[in-house]
Amino acid sequence: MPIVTETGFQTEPNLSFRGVEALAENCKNLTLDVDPDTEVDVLSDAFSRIDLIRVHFDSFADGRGFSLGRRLRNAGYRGRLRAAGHLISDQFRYALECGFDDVEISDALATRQPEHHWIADAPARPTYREKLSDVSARLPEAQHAADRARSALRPVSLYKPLANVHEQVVTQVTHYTDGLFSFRISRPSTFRFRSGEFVMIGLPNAERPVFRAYSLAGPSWDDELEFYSIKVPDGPLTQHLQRVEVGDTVLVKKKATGTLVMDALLSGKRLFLFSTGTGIAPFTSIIRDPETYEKFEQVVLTQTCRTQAELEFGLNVVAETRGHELLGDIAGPDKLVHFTTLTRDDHPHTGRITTLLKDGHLFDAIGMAPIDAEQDRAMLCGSMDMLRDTGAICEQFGLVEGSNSRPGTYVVERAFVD
Amino acid sequence: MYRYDEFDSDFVRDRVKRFRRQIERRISGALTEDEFKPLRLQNGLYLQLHAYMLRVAVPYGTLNGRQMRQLAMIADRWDRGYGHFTTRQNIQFNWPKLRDTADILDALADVEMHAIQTSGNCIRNVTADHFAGAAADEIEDPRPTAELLRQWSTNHPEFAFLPRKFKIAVTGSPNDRAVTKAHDIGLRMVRDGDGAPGYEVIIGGGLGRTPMVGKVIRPFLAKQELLAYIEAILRVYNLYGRRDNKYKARIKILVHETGLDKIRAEVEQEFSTIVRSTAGSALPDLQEIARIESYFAPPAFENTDGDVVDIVGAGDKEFLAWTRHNLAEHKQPGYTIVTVSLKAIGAIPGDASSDQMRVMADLAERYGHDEIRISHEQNVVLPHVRKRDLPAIFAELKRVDLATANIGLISDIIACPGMDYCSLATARSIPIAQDIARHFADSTYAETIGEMKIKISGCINACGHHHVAHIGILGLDRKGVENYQITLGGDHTENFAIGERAGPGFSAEEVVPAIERLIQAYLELREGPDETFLTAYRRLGQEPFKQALFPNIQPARAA
Ligand SMILES: Cc1cc2nc3c(=O)[nH]c(=O)nc-3n(C[C@H](O)[C@H](O)[C@H](O)COP(=O)(O)OP(=O)(O)OC[C@H]3O[C@@H](n4cnc5c(N)ncnc54)[C@H](O)[C@@H]3O)c2cc1C
Ligand code: SF4
Repeated sequence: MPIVTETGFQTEPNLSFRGVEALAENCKNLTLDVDPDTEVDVLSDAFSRIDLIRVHFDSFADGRGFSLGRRLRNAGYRGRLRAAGHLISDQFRYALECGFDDVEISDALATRQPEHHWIADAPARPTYREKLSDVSARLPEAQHAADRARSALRPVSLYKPLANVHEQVVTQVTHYTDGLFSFRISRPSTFRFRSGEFVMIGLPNAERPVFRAYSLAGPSWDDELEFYSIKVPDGPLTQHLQRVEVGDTVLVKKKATGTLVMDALLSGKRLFLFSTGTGIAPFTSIIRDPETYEKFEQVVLTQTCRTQAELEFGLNVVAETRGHELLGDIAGPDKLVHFTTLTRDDHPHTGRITTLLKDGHLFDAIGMAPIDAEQDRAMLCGSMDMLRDTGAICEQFGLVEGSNSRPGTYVVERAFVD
Repeated sequence: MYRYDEFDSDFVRDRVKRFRRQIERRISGALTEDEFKPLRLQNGLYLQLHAYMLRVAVPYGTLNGRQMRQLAMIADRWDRGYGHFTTRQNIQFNWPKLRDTADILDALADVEMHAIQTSGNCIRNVTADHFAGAAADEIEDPRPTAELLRQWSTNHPEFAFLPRKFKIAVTGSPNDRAVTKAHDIGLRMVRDGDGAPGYEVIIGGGLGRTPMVGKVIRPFLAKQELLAYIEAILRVYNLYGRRDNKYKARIKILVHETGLDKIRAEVEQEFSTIVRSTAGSALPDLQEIARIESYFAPPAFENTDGDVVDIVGAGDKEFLAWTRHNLAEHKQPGYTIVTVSLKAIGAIPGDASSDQMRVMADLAERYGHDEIRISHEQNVVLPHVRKRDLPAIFAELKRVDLATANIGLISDIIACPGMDYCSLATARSIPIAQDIARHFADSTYAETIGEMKIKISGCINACGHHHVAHIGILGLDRKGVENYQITLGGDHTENFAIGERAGPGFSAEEVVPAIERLIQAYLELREGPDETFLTAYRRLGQEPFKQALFPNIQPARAA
């Protein structure tokens, strides 16, 4: 009985399957056979004791098994999930999309519908539902746990091209501190984004690679993509990502999204960009986009870090922007104001941006009037704490949070998920 | 109108490629006939009486000129020079050859069209108000919702092998032109107390052999929760819908047998699981919704004014009759909605020749912001037309026999293909429609009768929607002889009602005289020209009409 997986037919040592009654005995590592009319509550208490659930399909025309698969996954089952019985190769991708890992078919069917029929059916392109789903709405931690659990269960096999992902080449890497670096990669010709958006990126080092949200740190007109990244010592992605070199491959999902975009803001005169840490990344995109200066008369970028070295990336980008042959004219020091503050090292300005906003120090330092909700707009990117505190101050100034569907006078994006 | 992007066109191409392979694999024997059948159906290919029939999706009935012209090309090249518009806002080609179908699908893909999920036990082509985005009475445009559902349901992995077909309709107007109460799911766009947009969700409606009125499962569903809620309904249906008897497999039977309250509890529980679990990713991305909505922004209307009569004076009688019957109120002053009748007297309801299609394409491009709609009443709509262009449009339509002034009148009949094409038919329906239209050809007579909806089905499956007709006609087979049963008082609008059967059936020859008797009775009984047949029927009940139908039978007397 061949087992069809995404990589082709496999054989497997004979496992002995048992019915749901086996749950009553207190054993572990169960391999269970279930019918499509099984209720999920019968199994859900015992998920941790089950290694494999095999859902039986009586006939390929009976789609109940697909819904049961989805229900099991939604209920938190992370073990192996197998569809068995009469399924045809044209349903393989349906099974995968519903949460199944593989399909068990009879020898007769395997002869009639050989391996290449099944492989040809594996998803060749992203589905409509992937396109519609909101990446930022997923619970990253749950996703995390699921990714880890699944990769632990699977035999480590190498990355196979994924449908909704571009493979791009690293063209430049710059390290700033032992916790920060930036890199550039080639840009897929079909990849579109609005300055300020983020995209999911990953590395081709597993069958199901870990993807993380990253702000596109370069402007939308750039013919390469730029990223500015943290190095988390045991971070699932960045422990590997920090080692990329020129010529390596980085995976980029096809869809960029985000709220730190011009479309989410009502028009105004001054644009304040408040950032901490790597939260400057979306803003290094926005300050290099000429459209920003068409929409706003002045742009104020603030960045708060702990040490001087952590400011380097932002300082470089601002200097580069001012020296740029086209941007230089429209983003001069009168148009683009860069205000930096440190919380640990000594610096002309120190302390958190919230304090400097509250006591008016910021406005004195840059020689401008305080925020006026009538004409000023703001974007915020940083940790959850920073967003909460700075957001509250924005609201005190009378600003109202906006989104793509309902533009407002300030917008926020998390720089990372705590 | 929705602009298909690279994503959509790649998708359609990929799907055609897959279907070509499936046909090859059917021929090589890798797929059995049983296995091939649902794949064929989900690509729109039916086996009919004489040949295959290809049903092409027209998502929520919206087309542009280029697409209409391509349909004309397909009709000329691979069919017999015409196409048939159906009550599902689709178009069917009745004579393609199996080996040509993949080429036809490719030709459709050239204009971003396809035949995906127009048939089979899956979520079918979503339908919507054919006046969407134009009607003066609209609260909100239903097309972005229909498009969202189209995308979400296309190739849905979980819901491609349901117990039975599944139809969803959306309306954004209180005057329900989308027949939402006769669908598996009907969505009415409403607002909550705070003015936030959402839907009233109706389930379990349907016609067919067991007509049922849809029931409200959720009075208000927030807009963003739509996909998760629909997913919940479909999951419950997919798992618990009957699979033992295809005549009891629609969701209306599940709702009826289980009870609305129990189904509601199941759906709500599933819904909250979906929202809680990581599959919360099933919720649509707001940005994506915003992007879809932006495609349906109204066209750049001109600030114009003036009424038809101002424009042409009271000159041409024929033209004025057409403006009386074939126009609907547009939300933009100076504009109107034109319904092009595919019901010329004696023609096959819903059929259009390739020349006619090309003329409609030209008119849409020249005068109608390049938009065309197909209505479920088997007519074609030009939704955005300046009133002052009406004379030119009328002249052009008249040239190709498309200027019949009968929308909503007795000769604007819906008829399913019946015995002439359909392998399930138990009687003819097209010839009956033609006979009736010819009998009432006199336009003064038709205008005197006023609003009248006659709908004919050639078998109990009710594709002709006869249950919701003012006068419904159902063709049956009684010992090898066609027998036509008449139902009265059906209504497909927001005052939804299922027609009541009025006694035994008639032979084919007796149908026209029977209708004539009904009409005479109505004209005598009505309180005035303003009282329509339906209103009179509601006021008087069935008895007087039954007497007209069966004059030789004594009315039942109270004992
Ligand atoms: C919308 C959005 C945009 C983002 N843009 C960027 C970006 O441009 N650059 C970038 O480096 N990261 C960005 N992140 C964070 C990024 O997605 C990952 O969390 C980060 O790359 C670490 O991945 P990991 O798998 O190695 O560790 P994870 O398991 O993701 O993180 C481990 C822990 O490290 C901390 N952490 C993660 N990222 C950061 C950070 N950037 N700064 C400070 N602490 C952090 C958190 O406490 C987290 O719990 C963004 C996140 C979101 C949601
Ligand atoms: S009602 Fe019957 S005869 Fe008419 S199209 Fe439907 S199935 Fe065919």
